[in-house]
Amino acid sequence: MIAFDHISLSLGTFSLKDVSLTINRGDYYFIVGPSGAGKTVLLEAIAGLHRPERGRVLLRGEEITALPPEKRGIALVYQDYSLFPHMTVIDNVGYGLRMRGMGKREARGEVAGLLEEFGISHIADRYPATLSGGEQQRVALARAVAGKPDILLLDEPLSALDPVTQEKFIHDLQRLHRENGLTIVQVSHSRREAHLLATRMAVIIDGTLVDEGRADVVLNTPRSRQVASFVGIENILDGRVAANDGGHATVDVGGHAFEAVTDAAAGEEVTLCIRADDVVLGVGDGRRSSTRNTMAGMITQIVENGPVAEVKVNCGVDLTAVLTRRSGQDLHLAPGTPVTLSIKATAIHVIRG
Amino acid sequence: MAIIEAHSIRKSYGSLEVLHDVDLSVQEGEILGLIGPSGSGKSTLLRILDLIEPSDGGALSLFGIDVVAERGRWLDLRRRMGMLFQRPIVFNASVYDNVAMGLRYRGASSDDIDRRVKEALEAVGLSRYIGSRATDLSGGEQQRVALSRVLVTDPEILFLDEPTANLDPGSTATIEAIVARLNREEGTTVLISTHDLSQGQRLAHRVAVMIEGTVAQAGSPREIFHEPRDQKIARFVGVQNIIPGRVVSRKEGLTTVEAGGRQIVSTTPPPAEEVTVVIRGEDISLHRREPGYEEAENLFPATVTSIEPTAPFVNVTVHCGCDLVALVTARRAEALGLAAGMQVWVSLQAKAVHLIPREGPG
Repeated sequence: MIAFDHISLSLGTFSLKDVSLTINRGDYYFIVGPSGAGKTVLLEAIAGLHRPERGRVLLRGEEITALPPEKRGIALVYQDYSLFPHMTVIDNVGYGLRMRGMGKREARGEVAGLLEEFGISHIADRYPATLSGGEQQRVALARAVAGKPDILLLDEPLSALDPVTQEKFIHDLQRLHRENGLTIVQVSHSRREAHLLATRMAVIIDGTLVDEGRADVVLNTPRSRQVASFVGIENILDGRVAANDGGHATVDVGGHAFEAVTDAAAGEEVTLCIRADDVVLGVGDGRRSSTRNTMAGMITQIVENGPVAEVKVNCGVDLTAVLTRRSGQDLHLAPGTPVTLSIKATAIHVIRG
Repeated sequence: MAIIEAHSIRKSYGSLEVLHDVDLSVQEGEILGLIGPSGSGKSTLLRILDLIEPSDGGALSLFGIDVVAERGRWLDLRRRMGMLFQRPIVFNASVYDNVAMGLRYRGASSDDIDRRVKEALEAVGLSRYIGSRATDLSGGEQQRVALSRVLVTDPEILFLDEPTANLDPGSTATIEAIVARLNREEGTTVLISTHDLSQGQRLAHRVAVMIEGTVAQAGSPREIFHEPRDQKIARFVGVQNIIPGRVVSRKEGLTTVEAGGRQIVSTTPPPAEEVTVVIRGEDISLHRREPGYEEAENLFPATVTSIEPTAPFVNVTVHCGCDLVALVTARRAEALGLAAGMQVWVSLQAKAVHLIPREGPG
């Protein structure tokens, strides 16, 4: 559907460097990365707002590198909605149709169903300044899809919304993707949004695409330490493979042995990635467990974060486990409490090299 | 000592009333988190408290000075405060010049400016960018430049308006650490508006919830998130279970409420006969069989009706007369082998069940 073939472009001192990616029809494709990594530039390049210095952009199988934005049939929604302040909601939504020569009455009739679909019929005659952030975002989205594009680009559509509105909007986006068969490309710095919405994703850091693929694969088995850190893997440990018996490796991490599943050979430097919710915590230091990696340690810190308690444990190496606050209270956890951690060998992702 | 006292603050833009009846007191040296839905008036309130714009009515005292009566002192008072906005505003100049600007307006000597700019950049971890052009930096770095430009003037009150809404998790953590340190080490009073509820809980000593243009509740994070005053606040702070019920008894410090045929015990004294039961999903534990020992006063069987992943957690809805939503980790859901139709046991402490008077449908 959309392909970047070795795209490079510069904007001031920022540059996208040799980016290649493929977005398939029907993908809900996320572009994630730290602030300033180049996510929005990449999105705008898809829309045709930036002309690459090198490389080719392919759209629906044809090269469109030099095609202007208005001829690409792509809708782009910015984070700040960009609604026309002097137009009512219904006229904002029908604007694109009117630009294509449709009469005002006809355009209003055409978008009435869309207003219903997005739950904004009751505000059809109001002006943007009188709407909440969530309502404005819905109007912007309805306006974007009014022209029936097959590709929708969204630049951080959720970051300005409060949590209740965010949840509703996530459901709207899921429905839009499921029911309209749209290809959606969304820029975000939220791992949670990627978990909930993305089918495929790219990670971009400092203008370079550092990982790309199925969303669950990128999120759970990142390609590099840098990506692991960005996608929020809480435990990232450097070690060396001490032995490997048919794919069951023993990895030495600062004198502590971890068992993991990998083809890495003895002597090879590796990085272990362990999600905090894969670290099972039990109270006491002598708990028996059939899990391959079972280690005794002591709680050093408990960080309460919303409904979650992040429990930092030193067991020779520092590890973080996560559980609900209630579970933490039930277990009477506190700094200094002796605990046992267990981690399945299959829950450890090994990055080689 | 209250450093900010606001009473009955009102503000309208044209026919649109943005604030009404706002009462707020902020103690010197505290971090107050201001949370609320988009459009509830958080930013407007911060702008009024920072004297960027006047209110239409009400009383406002800053540093013990009645600012409504003493308009002539606004510039002096403004210079004792600083504001950081959601979108960093940096000038097309070096990081050094961006940070030095406020001190130059105040007529500081060049030696003083030099020392304080370097200290401010050190505080936000940007010393190495001192000669860089501010507009060349990333969003997170620009926000730190903007913060250091505020900090260099040594504000006694720091207003932060959604300072991390556009930042990635790493940059957010950096800004939060700087703010917490500033409050701890310098005693700076901080008001931070945020729609990140976890951020409000992490940073703030107290939290004020704004709903529809007024402060609907203020209190400790525990009070706000576990004992919301009404249904609107409960919904906003992410309470999954808001259930109508009726008080049937009160004895030995426990109130028993009937909700959908299920009796639920709470430590809250009955606020009315008809009540709304408020329970956070993470306070509900699920078990495969009846726990042998359990400190929870509420223990009953239930049937799993739906499982919804919310990353990294799972919302599990169970039916036990009424419907309850429990929040469990994905790992826990896997370990329990949860599936729709499965029989489970629910445990819930009485102190996690909060009761508010019933408001009718809403």
